[in-house]
Amino acid sequence: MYELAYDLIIILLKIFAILIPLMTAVAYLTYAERRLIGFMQVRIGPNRVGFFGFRMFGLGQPIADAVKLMFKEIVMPAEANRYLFVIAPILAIAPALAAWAVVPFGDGLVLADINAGLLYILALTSLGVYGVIIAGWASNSKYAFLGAMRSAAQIVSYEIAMGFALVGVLMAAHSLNLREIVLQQSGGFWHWYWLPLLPLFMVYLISGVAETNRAPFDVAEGESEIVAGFHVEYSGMLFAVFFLAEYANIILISMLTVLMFWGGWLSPFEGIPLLGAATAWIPGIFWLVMKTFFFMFCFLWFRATFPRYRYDQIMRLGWKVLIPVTIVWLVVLAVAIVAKLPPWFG
Amino acid sequence: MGFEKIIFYFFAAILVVSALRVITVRNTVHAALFLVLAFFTTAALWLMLEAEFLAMTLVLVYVGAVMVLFLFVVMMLDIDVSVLRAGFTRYLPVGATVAVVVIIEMSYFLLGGFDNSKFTPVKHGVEYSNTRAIGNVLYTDYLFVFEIAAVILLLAIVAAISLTLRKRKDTRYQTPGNQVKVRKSDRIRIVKDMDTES
Amino acid sequence: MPELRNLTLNFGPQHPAAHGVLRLILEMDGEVIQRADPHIGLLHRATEKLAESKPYNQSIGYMDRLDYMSMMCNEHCYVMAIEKLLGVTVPERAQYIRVMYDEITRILNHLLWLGTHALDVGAMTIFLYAFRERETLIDAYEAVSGSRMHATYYRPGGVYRDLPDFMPQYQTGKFRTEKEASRLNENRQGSLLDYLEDFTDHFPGYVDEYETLLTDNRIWKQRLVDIAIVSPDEAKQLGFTGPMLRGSGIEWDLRKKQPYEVYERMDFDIPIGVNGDCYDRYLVRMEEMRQSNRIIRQCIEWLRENPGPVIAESHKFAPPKRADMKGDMEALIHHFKLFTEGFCLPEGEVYTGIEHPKGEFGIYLVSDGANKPYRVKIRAPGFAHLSTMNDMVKGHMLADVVTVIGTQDIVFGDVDR
Repeated sequence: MYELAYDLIIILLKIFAILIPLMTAVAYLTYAERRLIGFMQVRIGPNRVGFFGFRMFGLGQPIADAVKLMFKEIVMPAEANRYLFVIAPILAIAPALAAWAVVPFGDGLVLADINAGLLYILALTSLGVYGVIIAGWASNSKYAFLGAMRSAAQIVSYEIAMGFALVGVLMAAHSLNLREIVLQQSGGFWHWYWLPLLPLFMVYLISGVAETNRAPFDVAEGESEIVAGFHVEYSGMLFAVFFLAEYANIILISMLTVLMFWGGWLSPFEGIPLLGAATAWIPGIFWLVMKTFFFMFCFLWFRATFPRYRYDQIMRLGWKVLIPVTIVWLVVLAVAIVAKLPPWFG
Repeated sequence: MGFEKIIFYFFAAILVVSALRVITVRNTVHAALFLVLAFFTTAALWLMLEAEFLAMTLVLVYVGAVMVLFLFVVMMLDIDVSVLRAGFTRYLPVGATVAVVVIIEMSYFLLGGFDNSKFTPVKHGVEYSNTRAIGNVLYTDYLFVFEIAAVILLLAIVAAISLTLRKRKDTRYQTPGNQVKVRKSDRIRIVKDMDTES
Repeated sequence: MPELRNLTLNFGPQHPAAHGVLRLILEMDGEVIQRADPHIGLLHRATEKLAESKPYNQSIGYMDRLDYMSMMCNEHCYVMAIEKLLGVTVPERAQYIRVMYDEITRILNHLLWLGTHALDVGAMTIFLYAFRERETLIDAYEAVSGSRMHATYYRPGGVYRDLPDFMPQYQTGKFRTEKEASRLNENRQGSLLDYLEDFTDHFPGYVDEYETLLTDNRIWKQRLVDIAIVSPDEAKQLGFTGPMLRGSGIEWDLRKKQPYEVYERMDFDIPIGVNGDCYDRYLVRMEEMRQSNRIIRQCIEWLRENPGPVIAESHKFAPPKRADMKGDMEALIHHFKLFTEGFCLPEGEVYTGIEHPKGEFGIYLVSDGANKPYRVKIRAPGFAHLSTMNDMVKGHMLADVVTVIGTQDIVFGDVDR
């Protein structure tokens, strides 16, 4: 019995070791977004709030925002479904956090090294939509409802393209285990899967943006069309939870892209004669984080650059472009694997 | 009672309650959500049987896709319960007969000795991947059946789409291919001079 | 089977894309619009009635507040109506200043249109870029009139005062260092004309910059091309004017067709659309900004070389100089009469129309010989455009409604008046 309790405590500690840096990263991703997009838009962004009287480029802003949101009143719309209204944000954030259980941060640095890791990720990311749908329905608002409908249709469609992209990865790696997938890519920059799976990588990234409801696929929120879509009626901490879920999903998708297509924690200089040896001391998690930063930056960059797709155009893109691309590339990939095409499948 | 059993009964209780709520709750959206919960707990139970592939697929397919579409439809309908109840007494005999038959059938199998020993799960090591096992069986022994099933499903998709697809005559459609091909120089001309008119 | 109903959506007046206080009742089948019913009047301020209750020269400020995105053009039309009835000729220099400021106003308006249109379609960066350039031009407004928006700069007989020889400078302070201030003041060393010339040097480059972000962007094209097509005939029947009419392929521009002020001396081209969809209207307005830039340059050149009076000499309707009033009894009396009683217009009626950034802006003035107008009717281009909302969006999707509101360049100041 004591052994069991001991194990549980160890697991809990591990969960905290993942969640605390994650939530900090989420908070500072919102700050990074405002600063970065600010620079892209020739303005400054938040630069006032700091700690202990020092301005520090506005680094205190996320904390101040969190405190503000915590103390704000949660307004419950009339005729809203009270229970579902409160449950919805929790349903949105729970899968975004639970998915981290199988994400490896290094060789062996993983909470649950399960065999069906990839499947687990796919299953959990498909659950995030419930938060959106229930929020939209429970709010008893037409705008929120439209947002929920759009989101439901969009996510079901992009789930397929995303799933097919992952099928390519597991075909190449012969495994559903994320650690194995990364290890299969070892051997240097050109051995990573982005090159043989380039179309699948693009499809995965695009579907990832769509899954997280980010611009240019943010029709579920669609600021200028349906005001804020599914979370139009939310305020205070309930809204903050939606907000956190969105950013946690961005980080998750970025990291998964890195793990599956960009060699995870592997060094990009591996195999290069001098540079490889000179940078061998750098821990793998550094590379993992740097690569993840790049994709997170891409999410922000997209938002500052692109106009928004129309709802039906998103569906068309998903069904008529992304899914056929993945299917064709799966066939190509199968041929390459059977032919043992070096250096990836040799 | 081991830790595993506690977890089993915990999930089993949730499953039974949520399954009951699916048919007893008045609000259709709530019913659909209870069904989601039932699927989810079933997946958890399957996980305990080391059937992780099936469990994940249940979540992925039923919870992640099928139920989303279910909710999609249910939310849009404004179902009037009184209309549904109108023929209750008329349909009661038929419904009751079906229910009785089902109960008799199930109790025959369940009470007639559910031989537990035959179904004891085989324990496997951590390295054993039942994804691989299912794949092996599916693509060797049952390949033909599997492919037939896939084709039937594909046919069903095509049929469903072709049945529901209609072009509304007052909707304005755009062709994205043509939209993207548009060039600036084709869409604007510069007029240097116009005749003055007073 | 439950009966199928259309979804009725109340779009606005509190909506981020309603451009102020537009209220649309949308009847939708799914996301497809079946009927769009604009409800207006939420910004009604009875401008016409107010103008009837005040001397002519006191209503100029109201005109600024009509279409509050193209202030000086509204004033221009109003003072032109008064001048026409009075039969005054405006000094040439004032005419050039008016043309220059009309075109500055056009750029101001189109920049705001571009920013909000792009923002509605989802590209939010353009909005802030457009406001960066607007800031420069609004400073030019401030330099001549003291006001950043509601200038009241045009007066019957000319303009309020001549262009300033120096620009106001940024000061250093708690939030601005010496270095920052000198960077901001870099283009403010010379006169207003130098300042504007510096702007016209850079502006075409900025327009190119916007176009690289939008014109060939696939998403932008998918959102604009073939949306809300209006054929030339329909455009005429629906009462379109300005860029909306030209976007549909009709060659009509009052600056060319019925030249007022010194437009016939200007060298500029008129962009005409081909298909009459939102993309063509977008291209037309982008090109108009370039052409306006050309006109401003020509005006700057002329104004540099030709000093002179900027308001008519007659003190019956133009105020005397401040210095004259100190020593001249007659000037003091003129001033007093002008700012209490105003001036009387001969009996009659007059219509003036100008090529306003949004279309034909017209003032119809009826005078019974008193110092107040008997009736002022304002023809606002936005009103005619908004009334076609139903025809333009029917059969399109909800997201296209937002595009159409953007392409119509609706501002509620002049729709509601």
